Amino acid sequence: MRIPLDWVHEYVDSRLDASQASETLTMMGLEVEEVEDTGPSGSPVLDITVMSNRGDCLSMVGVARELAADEDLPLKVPSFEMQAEGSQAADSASIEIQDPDLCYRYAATVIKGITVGPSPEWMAKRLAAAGMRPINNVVDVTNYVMLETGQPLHAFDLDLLPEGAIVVRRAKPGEKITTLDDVERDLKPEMLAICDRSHPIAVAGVMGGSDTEVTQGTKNVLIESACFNGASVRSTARELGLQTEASYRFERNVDLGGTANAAIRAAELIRQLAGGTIQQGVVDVCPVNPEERTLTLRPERASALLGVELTAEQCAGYLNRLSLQTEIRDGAVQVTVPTFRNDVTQEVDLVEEVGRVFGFNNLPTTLITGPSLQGKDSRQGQLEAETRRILFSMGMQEVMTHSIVAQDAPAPEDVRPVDLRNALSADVARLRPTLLSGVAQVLAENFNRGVRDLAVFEIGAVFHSGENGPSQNIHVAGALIGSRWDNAWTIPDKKLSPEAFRRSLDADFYQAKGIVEGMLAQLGVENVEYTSGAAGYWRAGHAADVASYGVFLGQLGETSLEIRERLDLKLPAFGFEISLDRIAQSRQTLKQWQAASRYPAVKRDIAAIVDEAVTYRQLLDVIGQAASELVEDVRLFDVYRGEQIGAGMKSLGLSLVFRSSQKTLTDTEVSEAMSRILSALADELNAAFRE
Amino acid sequence: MSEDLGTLKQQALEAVSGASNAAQLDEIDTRWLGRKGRITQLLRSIGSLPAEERPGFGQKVNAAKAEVAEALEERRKDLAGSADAGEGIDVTMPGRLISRARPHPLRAAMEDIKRIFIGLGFEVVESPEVEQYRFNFASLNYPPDHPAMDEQMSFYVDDEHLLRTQTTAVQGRVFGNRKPPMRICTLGRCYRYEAVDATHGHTFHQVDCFVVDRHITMADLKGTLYQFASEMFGEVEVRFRRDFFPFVEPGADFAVKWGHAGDRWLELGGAGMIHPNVLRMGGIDPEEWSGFAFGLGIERMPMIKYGINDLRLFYENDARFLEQFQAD
Repeated sequence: MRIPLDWVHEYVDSRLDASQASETLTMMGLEVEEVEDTGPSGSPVLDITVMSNRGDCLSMVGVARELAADEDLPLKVPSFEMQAEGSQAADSASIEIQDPDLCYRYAATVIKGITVGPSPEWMAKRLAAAGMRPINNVVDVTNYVMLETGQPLHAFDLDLLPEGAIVVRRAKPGEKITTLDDVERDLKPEMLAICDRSHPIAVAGVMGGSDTEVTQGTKNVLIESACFNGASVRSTARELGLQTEASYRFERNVDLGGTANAAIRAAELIRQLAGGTIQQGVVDVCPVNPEERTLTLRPERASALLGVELTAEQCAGYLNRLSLQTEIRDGAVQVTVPTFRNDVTQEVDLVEEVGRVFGFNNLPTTLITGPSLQGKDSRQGQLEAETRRILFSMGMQEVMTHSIVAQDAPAPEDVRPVDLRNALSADVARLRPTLLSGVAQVLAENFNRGVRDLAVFEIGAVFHSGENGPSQNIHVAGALIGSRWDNAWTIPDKKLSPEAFRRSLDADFYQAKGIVEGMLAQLGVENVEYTSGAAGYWRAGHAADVASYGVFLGQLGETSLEIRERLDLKLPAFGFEISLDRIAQSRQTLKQWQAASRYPAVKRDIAAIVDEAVTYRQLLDVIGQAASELVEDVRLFDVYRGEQIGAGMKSLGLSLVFRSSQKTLTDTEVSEAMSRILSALADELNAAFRE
Repeated sequence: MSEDLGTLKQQALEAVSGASNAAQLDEIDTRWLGRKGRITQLLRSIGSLPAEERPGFGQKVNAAKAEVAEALEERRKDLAGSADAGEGIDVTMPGRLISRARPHPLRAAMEDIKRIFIGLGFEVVESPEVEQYRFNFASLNYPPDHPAMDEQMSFYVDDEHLLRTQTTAVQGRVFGNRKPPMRICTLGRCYRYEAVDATHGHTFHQVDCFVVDRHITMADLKGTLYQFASEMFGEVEVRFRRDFFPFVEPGADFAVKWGHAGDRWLELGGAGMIHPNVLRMGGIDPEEWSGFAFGLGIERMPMIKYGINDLRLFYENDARFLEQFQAD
């Protein structure tokens, strides 16, 4: 709202210049966005934002009252008297409120025999400074009084109002109106309309109709000053896509106690500027009586909440400065709240008023005293932090991607995605069902900017529709592309060509698996199994399901061709997505210590030639079954394929470590175990052996 | 004899200074000073000397041996020192497998913020991003269909659920299963139905804290926020101006002035004393307990600290952007 300072100074003898007033009002709660040093009326103009619960500040008098409170000056309220001479206004106009739940009060004054013309310069300048266009001396007065008092007004050409009858009612189905901006609008039955005996002539609280507007030839006017239900005006204005100075004020609050006064002020101003005779009295229908609320403020309550000692006298003094009337009785302050302060409804609101006149910045600054409480992170937060730490140590950079994704974002088979009812656009329409697309996209976008070697991860929420509505899980997802070593300049082994060496450092499935294995081990997840599978995001045959004790945790693999094409990824990318919620449930953090064996180990190597289809897991299982008590560890050290062993076969070089926790093993015991193992491998997996 | 000794010693010393590596020195040691070394051998001829000359000769030989031995030691040391220097490496070549992995700057900010509040005795709790209307608005004292909702335009999922517009929604949940005293902190992602530009986005992060105890005052609120701002930025001035939020009364806007970022007031978020309606809805008697609450926007803080001028950079995840930040 634009506030010309000279206009405000009509209601308070403020000693503050523009910048001081700006500072004061901001601190009081009316944030000054901009100060124009010289406005159309020659004085500085402050552009303020009023909080939504202070409708009383949407006026020059309201702003003046705030300055008066801060500077402890009297408020010079405009005079609400009109020089009426004609017959009774009630003879010329009648008001019927059919829906008092939406219209609490409707007052009207009548002026006859006016001459419509331009407004005087002083008024035109003030209106312009406040951001309103001058139109004619009648309409301008209605706008002027609205800006001055906060009460929206409307002027009807009385001669265009059959019998001067006003009916305030909800619109009937099918009713239309052409508003002042010459747009024909359909009215809905919940909308409140100002009507004549037959049809709507104004949208209540929003805009008048063009049929009854005041024009050059208007001779007799009826001034409407009313109080409408704010929520109703708000939804009507939204439905019609019409936001006006009037509707803005009704949405926030218009003073039920000031309705008649504004009509009187307008009538008097019109008489002064446009001539004519004011008809006597105000036609005032008031289904809801304006009542001044009485509240009690206990000074000890104010002191306790604000943190500073205040007496009843001090509290009363501050409240008086805001035009709240006070009386001290039995050590408490009895407060009569004027009708324009609908936001002051209970004692705590009075505490705030005292506080802000005292000045929040003037309150002391203390730290909470009392027994200290244990500060700590949530369990989920701790798990996330630990997971992050582990992934950093593995060289993975954290990223954060959007939770709201495109409406066609793919979801895993068994997941019903959560779609937004009011999407912002096709790209901002669905809650992400997985993290993987997001991290893969980060790889793609960085790749296009020349960063071709990257490892990233994200920890965040993913969403799906469950039986109880939308629900979320916390996942960790990682993705890798390019080389682990972005400027490899040494070839440690002359047998490898430089290219082969660099290729050996490129991201692949086993690098991603190494990260997952390390992460799960460090988080205490045990008995992890990797089984070939996973479809959708992953390249068939190059992905695995990850489970712990049979419980599914997530997936890892090479991203599918489809994803690579969609994201325009020029190199293969590898990734994983694991549920942190599941990890939280299945991890073991309390362990029993186990002593390491003090006895020497014996190492035996074997090279097992098996069919391509036999998995490493199967070999481990067979070895484990054949000699589990003696085999402490099995390590894979070589994988060979070639002419020597034939097509469709592979040779796995395994190092077996034999050790007992009870004694030193004899050569015989080791050899016996070895033959059991070799027989089992031959019998169950058709293994042959090299060397 | 003496002549022989002198000559031999000279030859030995010359051999020592001419040696260019440790192996050669070992050989010289053996050749001249060993069991069959040429100087040692001189002692064999001691028998052919008159008795009174024997001790003197023996001493001279031993002295010569000692001198050569010392020279050998010195020469060994010299060679050891320069051998290192000679076979040196170029230490300016890049190291291998350099990891530059680090937290995302928003995450780093959130961890810093968490640390500060944990240090003030706050307990961190989690709450869902898809929230129920009653927690996001109703238990926070929002009157239905009121302009106060204008700044909280939400994404809706169904009639009851929306994407939370503020982390303050956690209050109703906590009051549902906890009694005072309490100091609670929550951080996380929020969403608002808003067009995206350099300073606004539909997705952002907030930290919300609240305290409920006996005798909690607005002075305590000021102190806690001042403490936070000092830890977060360093030397700051703070300002509390009146502002309106339905869930606090008195309500304030919290701003800081931090020399590094210039002379303007930087608004960090809203604060105030928890509204008695909110406490009552949470089953807490406002006559016995009081509390304060505040909610701060997180993106703002690294933007202020590092001079980042565009919010969207946080979500683009350009590696060259991400690698500029370190943990504090």
